[in-house]
Amino acid sequence: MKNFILAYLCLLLSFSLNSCSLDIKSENEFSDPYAITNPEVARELLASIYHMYPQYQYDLSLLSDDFYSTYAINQSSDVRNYYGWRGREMSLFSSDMWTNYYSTIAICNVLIERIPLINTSYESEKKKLDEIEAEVNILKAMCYFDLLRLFAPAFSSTEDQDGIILKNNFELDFPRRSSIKESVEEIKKLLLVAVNVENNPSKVTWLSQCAGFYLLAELSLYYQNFDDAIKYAHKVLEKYPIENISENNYNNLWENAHSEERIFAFSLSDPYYENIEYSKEDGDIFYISDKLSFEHDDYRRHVSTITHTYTLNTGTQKKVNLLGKYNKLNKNDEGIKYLNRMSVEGVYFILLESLASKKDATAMTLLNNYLQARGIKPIAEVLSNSELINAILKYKHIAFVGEGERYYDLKRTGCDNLVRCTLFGENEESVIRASDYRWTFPIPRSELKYNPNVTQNRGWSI
Amino acid sequence: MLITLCLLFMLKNAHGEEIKVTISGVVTDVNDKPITGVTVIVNNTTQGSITDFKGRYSISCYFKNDATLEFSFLGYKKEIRKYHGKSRIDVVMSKQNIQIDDVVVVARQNINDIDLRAKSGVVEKIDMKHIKDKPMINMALALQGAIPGLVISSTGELGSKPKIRIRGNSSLREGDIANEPLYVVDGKVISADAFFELDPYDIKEIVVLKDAVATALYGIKAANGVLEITSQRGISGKAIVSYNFEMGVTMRGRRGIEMMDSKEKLDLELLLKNPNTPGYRYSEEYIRTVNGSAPNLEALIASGAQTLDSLRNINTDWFDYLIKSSLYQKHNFSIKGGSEQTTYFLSGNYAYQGGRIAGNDMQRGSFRLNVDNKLGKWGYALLSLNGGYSETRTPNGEDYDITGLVYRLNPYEQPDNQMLYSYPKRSYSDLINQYNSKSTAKVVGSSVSVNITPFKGLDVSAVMGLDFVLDENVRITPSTSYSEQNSGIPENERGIYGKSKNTTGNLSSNVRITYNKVIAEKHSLTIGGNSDFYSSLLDNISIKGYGIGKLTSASAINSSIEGVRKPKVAGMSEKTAQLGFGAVLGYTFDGTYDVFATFKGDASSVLPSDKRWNSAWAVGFGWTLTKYPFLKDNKVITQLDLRSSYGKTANLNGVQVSSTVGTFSYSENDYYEDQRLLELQGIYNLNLMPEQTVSTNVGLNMQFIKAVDINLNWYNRTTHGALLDVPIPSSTGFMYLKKNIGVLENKGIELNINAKIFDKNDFSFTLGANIAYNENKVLDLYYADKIYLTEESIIPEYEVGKSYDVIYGDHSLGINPITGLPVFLGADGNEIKTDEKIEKEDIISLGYATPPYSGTIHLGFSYKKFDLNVGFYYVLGGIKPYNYSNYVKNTDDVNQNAVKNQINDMWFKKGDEGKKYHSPFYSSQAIDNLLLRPNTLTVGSSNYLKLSMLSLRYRLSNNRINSFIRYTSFALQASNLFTLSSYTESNPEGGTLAGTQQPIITLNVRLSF
Repeated sequence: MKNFILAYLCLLLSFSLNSCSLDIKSENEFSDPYAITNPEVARELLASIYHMYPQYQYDLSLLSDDFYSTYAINQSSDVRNYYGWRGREMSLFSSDMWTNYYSTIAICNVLIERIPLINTSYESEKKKLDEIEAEVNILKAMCYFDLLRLFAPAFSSTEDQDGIILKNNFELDFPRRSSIKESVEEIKKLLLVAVNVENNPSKVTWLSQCAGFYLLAELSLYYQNFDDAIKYAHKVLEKYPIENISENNYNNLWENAHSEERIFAFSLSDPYYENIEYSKEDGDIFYISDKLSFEHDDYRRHVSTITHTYTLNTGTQKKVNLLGKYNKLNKNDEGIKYLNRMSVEGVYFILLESLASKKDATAMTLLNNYLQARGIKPIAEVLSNSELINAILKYKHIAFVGEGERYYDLKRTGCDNLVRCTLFGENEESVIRASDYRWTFPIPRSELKYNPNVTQNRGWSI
Repeated sequence: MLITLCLLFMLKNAHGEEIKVTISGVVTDVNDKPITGVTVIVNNTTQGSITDFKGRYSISCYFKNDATLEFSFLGYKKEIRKYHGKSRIDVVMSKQNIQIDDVVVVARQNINDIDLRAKSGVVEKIDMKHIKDKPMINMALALQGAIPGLVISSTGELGSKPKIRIRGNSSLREGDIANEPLYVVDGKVISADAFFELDPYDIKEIVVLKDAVATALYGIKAANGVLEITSQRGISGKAIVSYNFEMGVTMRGRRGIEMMDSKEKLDLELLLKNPNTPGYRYSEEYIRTVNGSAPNLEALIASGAQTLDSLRNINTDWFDYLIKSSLYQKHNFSIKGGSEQTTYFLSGNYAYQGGRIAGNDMQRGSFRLNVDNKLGKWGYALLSLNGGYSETRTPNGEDYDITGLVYRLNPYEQPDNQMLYSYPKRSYSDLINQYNSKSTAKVVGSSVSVNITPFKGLDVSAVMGLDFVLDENVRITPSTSYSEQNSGIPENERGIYGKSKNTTGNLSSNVRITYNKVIAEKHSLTIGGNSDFYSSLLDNISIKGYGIGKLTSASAINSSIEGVRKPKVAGMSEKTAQLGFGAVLGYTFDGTYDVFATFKGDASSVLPSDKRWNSAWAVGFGWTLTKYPFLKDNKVITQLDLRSSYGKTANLNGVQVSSTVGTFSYSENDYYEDQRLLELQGIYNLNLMPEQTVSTNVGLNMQFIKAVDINLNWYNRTTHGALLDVPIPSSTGFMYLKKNIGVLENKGIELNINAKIFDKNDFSFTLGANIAYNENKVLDLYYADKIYLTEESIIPEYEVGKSYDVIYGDHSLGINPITGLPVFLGADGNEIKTDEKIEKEDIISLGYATPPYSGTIHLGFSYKKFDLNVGFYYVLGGIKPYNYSNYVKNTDDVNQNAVKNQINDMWFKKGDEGKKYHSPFYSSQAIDNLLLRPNTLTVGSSNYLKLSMLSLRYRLSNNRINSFIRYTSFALQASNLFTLSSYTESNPEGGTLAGTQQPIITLNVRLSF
């Protein structure tokens, strides 16, 4: 028995030799609950959301009437089919958009869930945290808003139709699609919470309170609450007045420089918009549609277009306008620093369209003010209300060419004759009607196959 | 020459008045296992010999009639035998226990090697002499087939890490991290990389622990089995110096699929009408189409025919040209000796093996010093120090495989500066020297272990070990390479240099206390406990830069580059630790019944504290029937025992902290504005649990007439809560989530037979054979009956009641003679055409991806001083898809070479019946997609039989212990000499030409001084 006790004691001794802590902190990784512990780290996580935010300005421009194609399009049947609104290529693109937007939303939720757990002892820290919370809410709202405009039918059809999947938590669940109305409500809620926080970051690459109002204006126009749209647009214009529109500011907007016209832009570190280029010598795959031209006195054409001459198969020379935005910086081997998302011009068009939709008489005057600021002759004749709206949309089209904005506008306003053209816009290949199911992207298989509660959009079977 | 001189020297010293006799015999232990290295001395003189690997010795010298032979070996009792005129003296030696006041001290290298675990668990020893007889630089690959159930397969070219599994996968997760066994040297846990650096000549023994009882002492680390390695130790007595030398050649190996010769290839090109191929471009048909109205048409046609004629006369065999024979050499030097108090073993090893393609080779050097010291009356201290260096070079990159050129270059093309048809705008020199990589590993390790017995029955052991591996890898794409020259990269940015340094440090310590008490001579009770601590440190730094030009150094990186070719630096450092406590309880009654139970709790720093502790426990029973009176002295059944075990182990291998809790890290290269990016590593599962593997093993050991040993084991491993990355709705933001998804079963049978068929004075013949069978099945899935892993899956990858290792595909009906397109058999018995949709029901199981049967056959002959050993390795029951698309050409890709007989086997026109390949003129995405899935015609049986080892040895025996050479043998050795398989493409093992193991033939000399 004595021996057993001795053995037991030896055992205890040996155990104590090996006792030590297993709480080893990694140098590279930070795990909950020790990961997001102060506002500085929270902002670094927020920065990763800004960085991963999906950008489809080029892709959506291809589906609109921004561009005509050149010979270079024949290099890739995928691009040709996508430009021609072929279902297979559109659904591939749709899958990419869906997963990227929801990845971004997931990280927004990760941050939103951790913000309340951060202890702040100073007022300044508390303020920093509030700003972060406001920004992440705007980012999440932006994702939802983009998704809604892409994956739900146009608002005018009916607001009870399927909208998007709303994700309140970072978790595995199998939610159904909320209705368009519910989706709009949720986006609005997120934005209203965000604009309550006074947030004026020093750089335009962080979403400010003003950017929140901008999105509220955009959203209000989308769900046709013109009063709200006007209200929020004015909030933005208080800070960024129409006087900011000038030649110098416009040039700076499309350079890597500070511009008073820029309200919010994503900061870029990777190449952007390079897919449009075929080669430095042989021009691009697409050029600005011949139907769309900057007026001669419009100073924007110097920045937003590049003239190029193609020799057609017939032997004739064709002079075209290549896109200048982003493309010019790429061609000059200068990196692109800003991806413009909100500008004074943008909010001004929201205001114009809302006023015109309300048949407000000031709309005409304001439009002329804008045209003058851009160096364009004002409209002298009297326009009917629908003519005025069309004129506003036309000028908006020119202003935002290549930025994907046109696709959303065409879908929102129910465009009934979107023409798909052959090379150099020579012939009509097909016409996309307002009733075409392809205006609404399909829910990708990666969702449909694994979420039994989700429904596919009309017309798609993938 | 040296040897001859020595022989002459010895003859000269012969005594005159004595008679010359030859005495030989075998020295074995009580279990009838041969003992190697026993010193046999005649009459206390210096004449004598040392036993070889089979325990044999032979002395021919001058004897007096009353001569005595003394047999001694460390740890065994000395045996003395008198010579009575009989020329054969066999000796059985028993282990020596140092008995001081009834205290028993045994030098135990591996402190987890508890006797009882072998009585109820599956602990199988690998015969190291078979490993040493296989000339191969990679010891892990040489272990292939060594014991049933240890499955090792080559995964690629020389130097790539082989896949090692014990009893298959008990997890759905693929890859080494989740399925690799644990490696332990002398009680010290080492990394797989350190294991690959070991040399077989430094190893005394490798045992494989397979079942729950055997592995439970190691806890959850050992969920996939354990390879326990015991290194060579010193002996007390005069120093023995040994030298082993192997020199030989490596050969090309199996050719696999035959490609076309120039004539057939040019004929095919004419049929397929691709103007970018000479067979069509220079044909009369093409010249007439293009230059129909040219005035010199006839001259053009004649010149075309002449070009074709000259091409037909070139027949480059690219297999012969690109796949090379090379050299193999190996040197092992060791010295061992010592006093009663201290013994030592010191060794140095070097090996070189040339690969199958120019620029691929591997070399390795290592040393080891083991010193054992007696600690007075109490016990032993064992000290080890080892180090090594290895270097692997290869010209193959991730997306660049020179071996693949064998199938692509045309027979009418030559390795010169002419532009190639197979690679337009490139010449042969644009295909080689495109990339090179060099990997080196430097290993340093040391361990100390102490065995102390303070009083009778109590054994206190401790081991502490430290291991460092520094892996360095340099990858260079020179600026002169084709890809750098031709993808529009500015000249100052050309040339890619990548270098990474990885340090892996392992610290392990283990303290074990075992107390044994025998009561009333019949009851033997053992209790024990241990605690172990294992910590590993991973430190990695890597750089990648561009613009190095033709230089090959990091300092040549152009730091001014911005954009995608900006220099990149990455690094990570990770420290993990595991702490465990264990208890064992054993009871033996009368040497007949054994009961053994173990429990081990382990905590890992990788997991959050609430999930940190996981356990492994096992119970085992052993029943030795030959202890019963009715079997005791049975002449036929000389040994019979049964064993069974049952246990449960948690398995968390390969689960990272980021899968269990939100984990963030900084992006290495990206930033936003002026902020670093903190990124979430992945979706985590807060409910993640370790897999729980319940294993059962039932085994039988039998020995008949002391000559035939049979060992049979049946096992079943059921894994509950099996982990898998399952697809989830993409609205979660992620595509896959690691989840506990179901219950799997992995079971099998292993049979091992060793027989001494014949054993008389001069001649012996032994036969060994083993076979292992393994099957697996999904027993239950928690969330659904089926799991589809990808969006495109038609057949679920995992389905309840089905094996998870099956290749599914279509039932092919061959090629429709009218359309020339493939047709398939539908579930309803109707034919499915190429453009029709295939449903789930139409898809059938084609066979197992991993062959369920594998095994070895081993033959050993011995006649006088000749030994012949032959080993075969076989696998049965699996299939492997063919990569037809690599060899069967259509119009678009006929500029590259095609498989022999494609002209005969391909459909070209209406009415072509019984063809293998579909029409080359029809191409559509539908066909391409269809052919991505294997079908009954595009898979082949991967069965093969390989002559894995052949060794013919001649032993020269020697008589004088103090003469210069004590033991000499010469051998002709070969490994992987040929492979018999019906799988026509490359090799049936890895499925790639690069992965074919090289045949090696060597001459071997072993000397002991």
